[in-house]
Amino acid sequence: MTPEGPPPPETSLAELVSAAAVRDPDGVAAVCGPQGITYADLDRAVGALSADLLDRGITAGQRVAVVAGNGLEFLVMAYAVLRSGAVLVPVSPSSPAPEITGMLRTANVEIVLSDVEHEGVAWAAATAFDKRCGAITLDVTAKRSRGDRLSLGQLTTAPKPPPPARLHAAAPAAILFTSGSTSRPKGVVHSHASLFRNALSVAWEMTALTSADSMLGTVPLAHSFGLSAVMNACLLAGARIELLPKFDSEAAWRLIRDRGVTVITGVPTMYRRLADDEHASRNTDLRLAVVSGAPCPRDLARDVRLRMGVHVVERYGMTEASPLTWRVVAADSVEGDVGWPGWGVHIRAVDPEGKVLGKDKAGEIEVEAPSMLLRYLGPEDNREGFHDGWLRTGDIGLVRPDRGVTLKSRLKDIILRGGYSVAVGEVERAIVAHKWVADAAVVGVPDRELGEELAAAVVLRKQGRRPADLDVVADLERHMGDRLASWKRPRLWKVVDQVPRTPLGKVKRDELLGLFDREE
Amino acid sequence: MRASPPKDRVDGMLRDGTWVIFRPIRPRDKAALKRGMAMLSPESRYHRFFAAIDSLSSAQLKYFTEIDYNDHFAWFAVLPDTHPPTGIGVARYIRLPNDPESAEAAVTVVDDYHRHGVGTALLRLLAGTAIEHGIKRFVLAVMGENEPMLHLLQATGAVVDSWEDGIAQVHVDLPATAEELAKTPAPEILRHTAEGRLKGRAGPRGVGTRFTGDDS
Repeated sequence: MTPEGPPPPETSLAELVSAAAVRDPDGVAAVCGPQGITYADLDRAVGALSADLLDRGITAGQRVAVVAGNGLEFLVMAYAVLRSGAVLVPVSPSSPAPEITGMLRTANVEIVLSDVEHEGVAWAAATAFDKRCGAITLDVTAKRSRGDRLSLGQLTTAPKPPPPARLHAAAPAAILFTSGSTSRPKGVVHSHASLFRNALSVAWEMTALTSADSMLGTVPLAHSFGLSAVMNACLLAGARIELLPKFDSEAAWRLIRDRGVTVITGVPTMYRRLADDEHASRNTDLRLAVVSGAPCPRDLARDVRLRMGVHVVERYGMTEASPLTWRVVAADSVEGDVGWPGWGVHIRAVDPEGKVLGKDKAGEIEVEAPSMLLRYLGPEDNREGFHDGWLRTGDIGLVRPDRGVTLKSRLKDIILRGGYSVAVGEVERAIVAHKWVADAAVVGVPDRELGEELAAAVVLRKQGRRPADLDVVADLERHMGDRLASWKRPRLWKVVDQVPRTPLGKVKRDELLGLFDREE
Repeated sequence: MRASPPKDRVDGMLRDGTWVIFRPIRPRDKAALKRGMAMLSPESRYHRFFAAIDSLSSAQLKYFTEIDYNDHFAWFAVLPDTHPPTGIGVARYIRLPNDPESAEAAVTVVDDYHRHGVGTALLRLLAGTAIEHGIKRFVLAVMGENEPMLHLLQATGAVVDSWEDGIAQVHVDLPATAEELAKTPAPEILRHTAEGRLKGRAGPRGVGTRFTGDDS
């Protein structure tokens, strides 16, 4: 078309791997349990798998899902998708199969990649979505590839693969799912540039990450936080990733002590367990603790300083744009103070009419950032999610005279449970789908470890024949187990005569919270 | 020999938040084009082909999708997030053999997406491409009863040359350079038409992003 200035930069996020392989071929990129992988091997495996995807007919812009836990497989599969020019759709394997199927459908994927552990759920979800949807498993232990089960070992010995596809930096790179206030997770489309800016901000501005660092990789890589702040940031800086697929504070302390972990990236719940663990020590190589996903209580930051000997950096961001602001949590930090915006991040508060507010006036926070999404998948989300090109965060807060940001509350009904955002609407809808439930309401009750815990009040149907000896709660828990991911299932249940509601039918959450208070 | 499709692409958003990608049509769009044809009302099909046809033959599909991107060019509007991706509009020009500075043009948008700005955006993109290929004017044959199309063309400065059997022969003189056209770029038109507003950014960042790439 018409030449308009210099040609657009052509690149791909997959170049994070090929560049690292040139810079430090024998350096260890990541370790998981007894196995590690060097940058050179990672580059070869990523190249071979991407060549395989292209052989199977994948073309630039098509979507490929990765259903896997935090392991070497995730890194290989995610970068292989990006290297092929396809759009990466990471899916958390802890979601139940119907939810995964929904995400595959929403994102319109062509092929699903998985690790061996989640092969079954990935295959079932892919088949339920579309019989023509392919499924490939990456096996770290197998010596040889057989059909759709590929051996990591064999991939790393493949001949030198073609270089990454070169795409415009604004081309879509990944579709990440968020659990918003709507019934279904929102699909968030990010470009190669926006994800790169996220990683750059984490690695350079926020943590000053170098090749001397190693980071604990235990937050799910399939979510935005893990994908950018752990995987991409470490590859960018040449820092080693110490993968821990299932968080457990004792195992984490073993990695910190034996493997010289210097930076932890996690959610408040993890830090509560780490600080309370009997192995907690100040005498390690740890230098920084990054916390996100939920507000960091000030007493938690103090405990981390006292028992682990490191400062806590609290960051504010979301799947749509991250990181936005951050700060070291000091003893005198005010609750809700999330610090100052990073490079290129613009933040404002607006009133309900959309008028931009002055300093120190609370309203909905809107942002513009280099790490911002291209768009949502859902038309409704595109319609509702932006205001004059600014992203609406749904958070209520204010911009202080010192230009820092203080958050007040969530605009929507979201429960922050151990780093996961749970939309109460989605949980309530799942409960009332039970045949004996007439009405239900869910509320977040304060929890020392998780920040908030899900509590549900249910009203049972009057009519219908219910077995006299039925354990209602056990039956409800079975019912929920089939429908929602574990972090979305209420742990506290109460059978009530009536859910407290306003005349307009909105749940009175404060009153509901009172019901659970008395019980404790 | 068949030319390979240019990788140009423009992103746009409709008023209801639906994402649309505009890109040159490709040989493998046959199925999508066929599905789009099925979404046209009999009336729209009649307006496009001046005949009551139900579907395109495989020879027609080949003719409409395997093009040289010079004498024959088509922009395709696709909904990338549907499964499978759905084509909702095509704008096409075919250079006149006896008058290489003129081309016959046609714009078709499936009925559900009329009045969303898709046709305007397609026509703008087509005009830009045509100018780059040395075309100075579009000639179109439009049925008199096809009022939306006549309105669309009027807005772009079309001149009616003749009326015959209820069919208007129309021509549009294109600006000399694509820059002149670029003063009102297609995505702007699309967004403004769609949002019903004349200035200010309304949608996500990707709107109006113009780059080479693939997403459907």
